[in-house]
Amino acid sequence: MTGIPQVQCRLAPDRASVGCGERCRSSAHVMEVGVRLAMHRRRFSEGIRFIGRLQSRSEQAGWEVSHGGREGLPLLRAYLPVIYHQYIRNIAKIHYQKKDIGFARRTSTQTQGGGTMGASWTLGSWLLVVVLPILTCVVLYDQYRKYGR
Amino acid sequence: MSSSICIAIPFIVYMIAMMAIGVFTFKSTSSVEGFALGERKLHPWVAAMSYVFSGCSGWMFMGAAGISYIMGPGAWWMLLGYMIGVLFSFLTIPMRLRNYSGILGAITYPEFFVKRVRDNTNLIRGICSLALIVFIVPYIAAQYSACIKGITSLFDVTPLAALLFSVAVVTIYCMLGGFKAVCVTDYIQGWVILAGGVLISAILVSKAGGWGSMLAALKEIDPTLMTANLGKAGAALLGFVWYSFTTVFVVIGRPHDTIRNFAIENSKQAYEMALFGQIALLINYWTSWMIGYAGRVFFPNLADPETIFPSVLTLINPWIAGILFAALLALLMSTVDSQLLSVATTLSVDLYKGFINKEASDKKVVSLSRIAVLVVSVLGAYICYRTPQSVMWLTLYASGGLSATFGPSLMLSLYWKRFNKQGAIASMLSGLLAVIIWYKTPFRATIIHEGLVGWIVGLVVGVAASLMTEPIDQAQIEEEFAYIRQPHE
Repeated sequence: MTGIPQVQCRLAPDRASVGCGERCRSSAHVMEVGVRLAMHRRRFSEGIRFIGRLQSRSEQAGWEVSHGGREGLPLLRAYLPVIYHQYIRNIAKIHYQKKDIGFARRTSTQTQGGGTMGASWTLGSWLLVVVLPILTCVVLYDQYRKYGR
Repeated sequence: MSSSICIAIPFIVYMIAMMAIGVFTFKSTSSVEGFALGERKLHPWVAAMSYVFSGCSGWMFMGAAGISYIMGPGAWWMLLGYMIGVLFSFLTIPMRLRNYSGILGAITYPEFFVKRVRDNTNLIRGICSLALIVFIVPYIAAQYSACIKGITSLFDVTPLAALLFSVAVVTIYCMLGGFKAVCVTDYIQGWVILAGGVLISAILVSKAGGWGSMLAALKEIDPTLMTANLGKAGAALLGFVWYSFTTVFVVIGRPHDTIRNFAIENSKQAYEMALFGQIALLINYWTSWMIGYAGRVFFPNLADPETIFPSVLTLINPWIAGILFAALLALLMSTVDSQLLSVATTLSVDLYKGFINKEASDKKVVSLSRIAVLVVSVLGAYICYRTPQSVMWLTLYASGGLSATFGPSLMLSLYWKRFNKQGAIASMLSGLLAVIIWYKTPFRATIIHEGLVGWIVGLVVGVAASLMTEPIDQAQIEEEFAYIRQPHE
């Protein structure tokens, strides 16, 4: 425990941002989530997993998540693990308060989704960057197996 | 100790090591075959590394990283085009070319064509020499240009000082050690490039907060960085993919890497060389791409995307940065040295011994080769200094020109018995001219790459000219083809 810093997470209809500091404050206008939590560095790896799950779940719910830039990442890694269980369970109806974690109720009826979040590659990207290049090596391995040994 | 000095020390140690290899391999270069082919005793892994990294050039960490910076996964249309080009080359060329160059006793690339089509006029030697000078000298200039960009991005030196340093290092070890020094340094440099590329990619992804966070940051910079279609659709996408794939042809049959096929110990090893080479190429492409892609998280608004590699080096421990910077220089030098050697041996063996002094001794030809290395290197440096251009496009042009001049003739030589002297001369000349002419048209950067145009023209003209003229003695060619079709130990 090294203190109780504050992380603000805001979700907008066109773009949701989970991060800290000025970047987040300027990006949202529909939903505001204020989170105060204790720094808990022992849960670092959990935090990394959390970011991935947060993004995929948010995307399923029609939102997209961006982390608020490089400066926000260290804070995210440290703080977000603490809230991830609660957040994921309540992703569709964010209204949750427990101990030192507070979420504000969604205040808009605007539709969710679109925008910049849920960063993941398309299937085409995986095929182009990973699968097809590996196939070129497989073809040559087959040749080597037949004639080169 | 300042970070510049920390970067400079491993970098300078590395450069000295490369020059030392030139000195140690000096003794094996007394014969022409030793200087030009390393006595044909190259291990397949050494040949593979040398083949791949002679072809990759500064294009990888500068040009390819630059387009990855801009296009993200979409850059792989072009990279995959290259990989398919190399795959095609590996499937069709090494085994037959090793066999054929062996039975013909060809030492240089032009000499292979001369002996294959029984050219007694030396016209082919002249055309090959012309093509090598026209295309390889600007290619060398592009590599020196990349050296300047890299060195001046990290050190407070003038472009001229960076250029002179690069020229001195490469020229010295290439002059002294010839082919063997080039291949051994390429092999060592290849490992440095692969290890350095993997290391820096891992550092960048880790610093960005992991793969998911990196993607999120990139998506915020530009959502098209998530897709392979660059945000394009329909005809615009098809046009881009088509153009990217036309670059397949810029890697087939280029002399400075294809010559490695002459030097492996036997043709059965060609398959091992091909497999190892393609894997090395894949790792190199992935890491070069990752440097540009992940690097954008940290430097989203670079004025010159081709400087992303030296830029990301400023993020990491300066000692490691020094080693990685040496890896960049390794890429550049492994190409420049091969190109210097190609031109030098062509000038000394094909032009001097072929035209001027047919009785010249081995010692004299080797000495002349060393002088030619120096002259061509200085010429490339001069062009680089006078006309600095994008590494990416200059390399593509030069590579396309070499491939269009030699590629069609090489494939016809290996797969078509009817191919003859007239066909070879017509194919080389028409391919060379087609590239130069197409390069000057406004279509080149949008519809079709000049390398493909040159290939098609060279192939069609080569076939037509062969069919219209007398064939070579087919009984002898039949015998040769029967031998080259099979791998031999």
